[in-house]
Amino acid sequence: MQRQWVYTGIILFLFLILVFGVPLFPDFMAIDIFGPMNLGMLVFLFLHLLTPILAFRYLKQSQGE
Amino acid sequence: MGIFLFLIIIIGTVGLTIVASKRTSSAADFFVAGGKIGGLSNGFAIAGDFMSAATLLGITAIIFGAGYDAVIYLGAPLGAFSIVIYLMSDKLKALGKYSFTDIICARLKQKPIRILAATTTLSFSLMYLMVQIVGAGALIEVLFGISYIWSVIIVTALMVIYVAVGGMLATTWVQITKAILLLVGVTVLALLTLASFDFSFSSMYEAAQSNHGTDGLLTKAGGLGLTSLSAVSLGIGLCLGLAGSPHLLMRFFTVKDKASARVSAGVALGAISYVNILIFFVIGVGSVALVKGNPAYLDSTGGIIGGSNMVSVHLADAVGGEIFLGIIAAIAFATILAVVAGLMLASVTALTHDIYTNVIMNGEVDQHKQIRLSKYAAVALGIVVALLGIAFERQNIAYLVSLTLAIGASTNFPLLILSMYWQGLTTKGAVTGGVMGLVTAILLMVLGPAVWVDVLGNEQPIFPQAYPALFSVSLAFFTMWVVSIFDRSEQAAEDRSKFEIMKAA
Repeated sequence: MQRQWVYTGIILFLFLILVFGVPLFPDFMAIDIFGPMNLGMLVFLFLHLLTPILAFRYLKQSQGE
Repeated sequence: MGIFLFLIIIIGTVGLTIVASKRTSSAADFFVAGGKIGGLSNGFAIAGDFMSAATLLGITAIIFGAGYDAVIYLGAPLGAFSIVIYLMSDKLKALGKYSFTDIICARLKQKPIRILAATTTLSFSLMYLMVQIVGAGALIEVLFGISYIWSVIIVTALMVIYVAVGGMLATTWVQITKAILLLVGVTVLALLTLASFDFSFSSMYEAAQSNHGTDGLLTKAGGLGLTSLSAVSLGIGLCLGLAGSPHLLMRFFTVKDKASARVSAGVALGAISYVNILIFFVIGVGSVALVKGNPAYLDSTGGIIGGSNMVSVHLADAVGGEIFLGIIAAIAFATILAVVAGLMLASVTALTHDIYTNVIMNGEVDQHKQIRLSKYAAVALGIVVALLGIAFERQNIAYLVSLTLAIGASTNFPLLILSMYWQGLTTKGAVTGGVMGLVTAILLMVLGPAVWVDVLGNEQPIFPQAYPALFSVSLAFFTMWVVSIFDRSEQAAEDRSKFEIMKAA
């Protein structure tokens, strides 16, 4: 499978975890991780860090071709 | 101070517009800045085009009222931009000229597609414009004591000036300026907010939790009371709607090549992620801790002065005093101006490039006449938008954005993605599915709680779901698929054979 579909799938999967987490498993997403951060907030942070990292990785790979 | 900065923003942006107008002579200059914008600059312009009043004002208001559930609003643009950068940007740049419709018309019959896409673009842009105008009207009213109606008129007039006088180049410069101001503004606001708690996240969250109430919904899901259906519908509408937004897509035609288009999307994604993190973890929570229940920001009825959309502006006052309040208010104002300019340009392009030039005149039109008509169109659309803004006063702008994006998700997105990746799509399928998506999205919106109850004053909505996208998007995709696979016409065979153009792009 081409990498652009894999990258899109990863980001949409994380986004869908956040979306489904709101109505379906709010208690699970509220599990404390550290300090005020819970699992839902951690997924949110991970999504926001991973998205630009993948995008710039894709740019570098594309420029090298 | 506030009025001074307000005037600086107006004078500065109008000055940029006048300079840009001297560099705008052809239709390509007017609609896509001659395709000469660099990838980095265009990335900031896309970020400026996307991060609207809903981002700074509306989403902070949602965190303020409902807490954690704002993750759906904040996460959606990342999904949308990922779709655009990985799946769309190369084909957009390779096949597009002035509007996203050019890409679909590369393989489907031009006239019906252009009429449909112009209709969906106008429906989307006019509603989105109205939402931004509502935010701007409330902001100016609170800060400067100018009545809501006059505030709406001022913003609309500025929007028309940017587009009619300076075209895409002026719009780009305004958007880049706004993006930089916003990035600096939210950084300082977040730092000052954290400084109020000695840079202790724990102290800030404790203060916010006690202010928010004992339900713990500041950091736990449930504040918006979404069912599974409504959460998915909201998420789909926001994500796919943004990926099908004409004002964002047309920015990919302003760069010179595919590499610049990809860089643009990457830079925009980085800027949006950064602002989202600050709003979610610091500014939203800080506003609950410092603004909620603070008598300085309550009106005589106990509500927030200016409505909940103003909480980030009140937070600026709480952490930085009157001067910083003026700065953040000016940034919020610039934010709105940049977005409305982009939306207005997309609407004008749909009318003059898609409808007038390619449908009525079959592509044979003098470009100076095209530019002149675009200026008249900007004035006429401005009047319509101002009237809509007055009718929808005091609605939550992030909520209204979600309804508007349902139109983009139900029409432009299925049209674009299927024409790019499904050989079986035919003109008949695209038009029937697009019309179905548009009509369903608007109908369900009107019959739903936001319009049927809140605007028209009825007691119960006819369509009970607040977010219609799941239904309208599914119906649009399904209709395009069914009609296309049963389409055995000559045109259908031609449409399928032209898919090679997409493969090559």
